[in-house]
Amino acid sequence: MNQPTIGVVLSDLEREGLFERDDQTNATEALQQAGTTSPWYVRLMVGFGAWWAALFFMGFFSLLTHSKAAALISGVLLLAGAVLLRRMEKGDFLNQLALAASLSGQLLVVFGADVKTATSAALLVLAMQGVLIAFYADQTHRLLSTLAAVAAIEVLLFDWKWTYGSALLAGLLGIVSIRLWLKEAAFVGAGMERLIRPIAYGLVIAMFGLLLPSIFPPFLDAHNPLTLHMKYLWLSTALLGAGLLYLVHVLLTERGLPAFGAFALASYAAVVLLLVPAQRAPGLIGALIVLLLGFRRDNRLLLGMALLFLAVFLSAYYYNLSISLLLKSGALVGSGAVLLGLRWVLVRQLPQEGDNHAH
Amino acid sequence: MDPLDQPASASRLRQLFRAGVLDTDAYERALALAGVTPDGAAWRRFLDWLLAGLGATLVLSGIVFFFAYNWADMHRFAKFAVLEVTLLLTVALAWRLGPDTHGGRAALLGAAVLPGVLLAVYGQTYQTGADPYGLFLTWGLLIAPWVLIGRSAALWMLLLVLGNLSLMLWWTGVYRPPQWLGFAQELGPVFWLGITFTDADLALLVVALNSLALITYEAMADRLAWLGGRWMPRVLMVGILATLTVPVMRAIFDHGGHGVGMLSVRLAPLAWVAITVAGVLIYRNVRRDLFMLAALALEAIVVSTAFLAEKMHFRDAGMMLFLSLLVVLMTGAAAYWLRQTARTWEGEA
Repeated sequence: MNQPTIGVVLSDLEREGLFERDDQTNATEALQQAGTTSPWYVRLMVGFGAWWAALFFMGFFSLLTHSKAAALISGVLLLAGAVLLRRMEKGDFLNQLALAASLSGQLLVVFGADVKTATSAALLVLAMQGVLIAFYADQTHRLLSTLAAVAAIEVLLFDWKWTYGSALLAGLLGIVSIRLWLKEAAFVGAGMERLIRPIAYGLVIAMFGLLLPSIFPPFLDAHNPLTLHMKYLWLSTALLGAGLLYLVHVLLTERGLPAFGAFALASYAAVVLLLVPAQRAPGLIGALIVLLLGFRRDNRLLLGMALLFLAVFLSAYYYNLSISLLLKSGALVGSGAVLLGLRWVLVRQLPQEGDNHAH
Repeated sequence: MDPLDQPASASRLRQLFRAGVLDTDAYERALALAGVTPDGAAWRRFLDWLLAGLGATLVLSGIVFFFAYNWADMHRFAKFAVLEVTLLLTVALAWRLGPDTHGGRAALLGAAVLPGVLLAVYGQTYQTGADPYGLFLTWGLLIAPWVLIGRSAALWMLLLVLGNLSLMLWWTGVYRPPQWLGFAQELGPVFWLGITFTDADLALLVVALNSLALITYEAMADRLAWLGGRWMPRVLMVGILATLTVPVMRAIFDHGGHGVGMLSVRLAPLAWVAITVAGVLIYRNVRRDLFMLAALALEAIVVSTAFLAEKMHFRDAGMMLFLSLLVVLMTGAAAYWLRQTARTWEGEA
């Protein structure tokens, strides 16, 4: 896509009375200040070093003391130190130290708290992640904390034998993700972007993570005691389907299309029809949701994740169909033909709305 | 470069919004002006592309499944015919579209993959009893002419992977099979690779092969426009460093070792030093690539930490603390160095 420069966009805004030329220097400053983020591979290297340092640190503490109380106290102190250190924002080196200290601190707290059951360990982790997400002002850390929190909830659900819990959780994560990504602009405006964005990414990743077991045939075996919750996959599909309906509704109204016009009703019908073959494959619906959310704001990261998981869930879907290869071949050609036909209809039927209505 | 001349990406517009330069209305409008929020035409293109891509993929896999279903019952000539007709079709498509279009390149890559399938079916049909390395070697030789005229990094990468596989399979299957080969193969390809490279002679050969490819790529990149992408040299560098790690770790931890390959075990650290020094000089000064510097830095951190851990008493609490702080220090220093390097480049640009 050919993107205009910031300068061009600003002069367009000025022509429409949305921007004053005097603010141009502010714009330059704002862009210069924020232009110092490291590329992903540098952050990956830093993250790798942090985990490694944290492991050595843990080794140090475990060799130094065999007292659980001492481990607990040092863990809490490490966490407090890490939060303070990160708040000072003094560049990569100290951020790195803070991340390592926080990871070791968390491990020490769990080890030192001497919890007896999986439930209490999970509750402890959950509470700790809640506090850390609120106070540890770092995007990577908040993403990791979100993932750890979801993992803790998953442990709780297993421990309480809420067999439908995992499927329910995956669906709910999808719905909350939709809400957060649709409200992105509001969060940025309220200055909460650095809090909400990593959480929103974390929830999307966690949703895919929870849906991933649904692609492995052994997990689909209803008699396997470990995977009882797989009986409830339809629950994820239903929740995600509701979320997809809502998302399609929002997208249509955003484009200024009537919420209950012919095109809208046809789109809702298509979503509902899709739920029938996808009742045991909620991953397909989840990937479609993330794909639409990503395209809505040209978010390459969301688009990339969605396409990757769409490929994974789609191949697993056909792989797991318990029909002969010949029927599979027919199903593939048939559904492919349906999509191509749908494209033919859609491209011709999609209302030719101009761009004049846009705010 | 004037910040206002940068492309109006979603993250830059967000910065302006966050800094209060734009209000909510202006931000939303700016997103639309910059094409971040798609207009009606963009949504139509997106749906068109998505449905066409998915539909075509499903139909094509359906056709593949159809032949897979009938495969066992097909006469061997029918099998060959199916594969050879597909091969001819992809070659014809590549010829029609030309090597400088996306479609033409994809078609030629498909044509380069098919001889491998054909050879596998041939080996299965006539039970030639040949060693597996022969398949990859023949495959590579067969597609070499296409690779030469194809003007595509992906084709060269395929040829290089086939070369690596031929060498490794010949070595572990014919020349000097490792003791744990069967067990390692049971555990999967990653373990197989790891076990394979504990033979330091082979590891250094693989490193040499891929280093040669990397050097050639970098030397030719300025002259050939189609080598402009950076993914292939980056994949090569990661592969070289990962392969080299196995014999270097043996050199650090495996003192009393004797037997085959010990000369290469002793040479591996020297090779690592040479690659690191040359890499830093080249990718810092000649062909500026921060990814390469980050990869070299990470490998340096891994190797020096392992070296110090071995030299000191490993199970001592004080040493654990020392190593932990050392890793933090080295990673922090590496990140600082990378950032400074990037800043220097920006200043000179």
